[in-house]
Amino acid sequence: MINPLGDFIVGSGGIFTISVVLILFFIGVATFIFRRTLLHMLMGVELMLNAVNLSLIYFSRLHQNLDGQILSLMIFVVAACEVAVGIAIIVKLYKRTGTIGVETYTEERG
Amino acid sequence: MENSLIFIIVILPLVGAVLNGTIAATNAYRKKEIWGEKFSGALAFSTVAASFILSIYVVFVKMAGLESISCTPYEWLSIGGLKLNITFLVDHLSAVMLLTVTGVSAVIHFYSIGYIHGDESSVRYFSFLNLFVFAMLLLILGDSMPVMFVGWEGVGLCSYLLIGFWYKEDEKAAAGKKAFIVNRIGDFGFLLGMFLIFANVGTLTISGVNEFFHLHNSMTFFWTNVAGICLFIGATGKSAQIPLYVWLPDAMAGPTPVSALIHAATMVTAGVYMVCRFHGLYLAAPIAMNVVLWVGALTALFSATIALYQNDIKKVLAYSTVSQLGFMFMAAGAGAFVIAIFHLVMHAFFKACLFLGSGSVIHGMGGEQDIRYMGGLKKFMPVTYITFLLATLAIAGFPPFAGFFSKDEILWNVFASGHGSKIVWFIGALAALGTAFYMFRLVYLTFFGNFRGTREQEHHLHESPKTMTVPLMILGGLSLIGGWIGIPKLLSFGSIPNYIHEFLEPAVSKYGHVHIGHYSHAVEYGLMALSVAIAFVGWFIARSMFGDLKRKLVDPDTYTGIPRLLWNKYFVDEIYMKFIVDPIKSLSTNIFLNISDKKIIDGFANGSASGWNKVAGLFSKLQTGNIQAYGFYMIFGAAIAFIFILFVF
Repeated sequence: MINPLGDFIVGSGGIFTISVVLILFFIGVATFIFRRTLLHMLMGVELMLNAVNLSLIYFSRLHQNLDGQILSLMIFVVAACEVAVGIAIIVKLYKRTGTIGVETYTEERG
Repeated sequence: MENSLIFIIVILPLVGAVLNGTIAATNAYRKKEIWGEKFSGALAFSTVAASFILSIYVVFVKMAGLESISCTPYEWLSIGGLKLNITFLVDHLSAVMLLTVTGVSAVIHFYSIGYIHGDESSVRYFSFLNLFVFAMLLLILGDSMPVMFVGWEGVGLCSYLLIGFWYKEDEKAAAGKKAFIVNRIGDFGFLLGMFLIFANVGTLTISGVNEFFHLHNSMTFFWTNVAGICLFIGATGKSAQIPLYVWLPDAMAGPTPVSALIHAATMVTAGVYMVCRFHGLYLAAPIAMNVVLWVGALTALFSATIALYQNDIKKVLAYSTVSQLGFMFMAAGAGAFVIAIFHLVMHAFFKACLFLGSGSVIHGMGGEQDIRYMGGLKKFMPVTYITFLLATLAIAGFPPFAGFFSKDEILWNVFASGHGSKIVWFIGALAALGTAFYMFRLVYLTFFGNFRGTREQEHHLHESPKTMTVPLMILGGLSLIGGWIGIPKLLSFGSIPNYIHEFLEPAVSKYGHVHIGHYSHAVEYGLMALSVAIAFVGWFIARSMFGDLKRKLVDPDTYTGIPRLLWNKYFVDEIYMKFIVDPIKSLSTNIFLNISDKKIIDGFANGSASGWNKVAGLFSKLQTGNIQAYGFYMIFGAAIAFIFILFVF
């Protein structure tokens, strides 16, 4: 126990990091489900994604291998692309309908 | 593969059929003729002719001195105890059929080249004709019941295709359908017989079945006879016997060479061949034998009487074919299988000749088939006339023509055999008298007297081309000399061997002998003289009534009494229509269509569809179209999966 803080973050007491991951994730979920604008929903998705990234990095550190970190780098790239496309779609939707409120878009009602 | 030549014999016509079929399809697709009828006719003829030549080689060289040879190109099935191979068997019985079928087929293929010339779908015609030969060879050479049955159905199919060859005319298409449906009824009997035999015997090979019934018949007397009768029902369909003969006269709608090949010489004799093939079974089933005998005799007389009053040249020949087939069944029913096959071969010669001759006449008359408008064709078509006359003499039973030897022996066997009966002999003799009469009536009305057709037809009259007259000469010659392979000892005094007897006897007496009653030679000579006398009487009556006819014939619509009955063919078609076809039709429409199909089956199908629609409607409420609801479902599902993994595993 030379580095109590490090142990608190990484070691058997990794409860802190896991807590951060879970909190981030559920904030993302809540944002996705409850916020009514598409832009916020997209942000929620990003939050969830980053929570997952954080957990990957944490477990990578825990198991002393680099695979998880490499995967997280890749996820960054993919997420960046996804955001670019997502925002472009949202801008287009806004131009077409003048709103980005999600309750407008219910064409897929069964 | 041993004896692969046999396989080549069978497969050659199929190759021709496939090639010609491909050409026909290509022509139809491109809408123009790329490979003309000359090529396909030559192809069709050469494959069958090659089969014929190979058959001669196989029968006389490969099989010389042997009881049988066989070849197994393919192992078909192996289910439980049943091992089924596609085996082609050439024994003495199938050898005779093989030579007859390939030989007559080759001649008729050659004739067809001239006959079908100019028809827009002649390539298709040759393709069907080749396919028929293939199916017939399967039927003849198959050494087990299923292979035989495949051939049996195959010839039925080709018969249907060729009767309805000119399918654009409703009447001809209907005739094809009639033939197919009536044959299906018979085939059902054949199938039942086959099942019955398999259930009790456990094998389906022909030798196995025959041996079973000959050596250790463990079927009861009743079921043995039922099996025999079931198979014979199949034969009545294919070989046009009472009660299923009605399709054959209608089958004359097809091209005339088809009538000659399929509906006179080969396919319709399949039933006779089948009965002879299973002689082991039939000899163990005396009641079935008796049924064969009586049905044959009644058919022979029945259709001979109908033929007396028919005016269509091909219809007369059709009823004559039915009658002659009856004679063959009489022989088979009396246990004289050799004679049945002998008459079958002779009939193939003279009836093919008669049909081809009638084809030549129709060709010369420009499509006219009614003999009331013919007459005096002798001087216009000498070759046709002479060959037609030869064949007529043969079928009427004048010595020394082909039909004399076979028909006389049939009557003798029916008279003397332990399975025969004197009454049946009398019926057969009457039928023979009828035969001689209607055949000479046909000859006199067609070739003698003055021409009764239109002036235009008379101007058009001509002898047919060489491709048609050469086959006529071959078959006419065979009608004259063909019977000499079976001269009875009584006439030759042992100086000429009775080839057909010596050749066939071992093959059909392997499974039991038939008792022939002892009569003195005087009786035998007497009966022979009687059958010659019958032929002469028939000829004489016909000559006195129709020889050198100058007057116009009576219009058949004014007939009364018996002539009216005969002209209308005993109203059998009408009776079948009223009592069988119409009830089935109304049953089908009222019950099967309107109730069971429309209400029950459609109701079930539609009901299940609308039921699922309703159930799906409930679940579709979940699809709100709101993407956040979907997100919620997803999280909810993930949570459930998570809990499940955490607590259940």
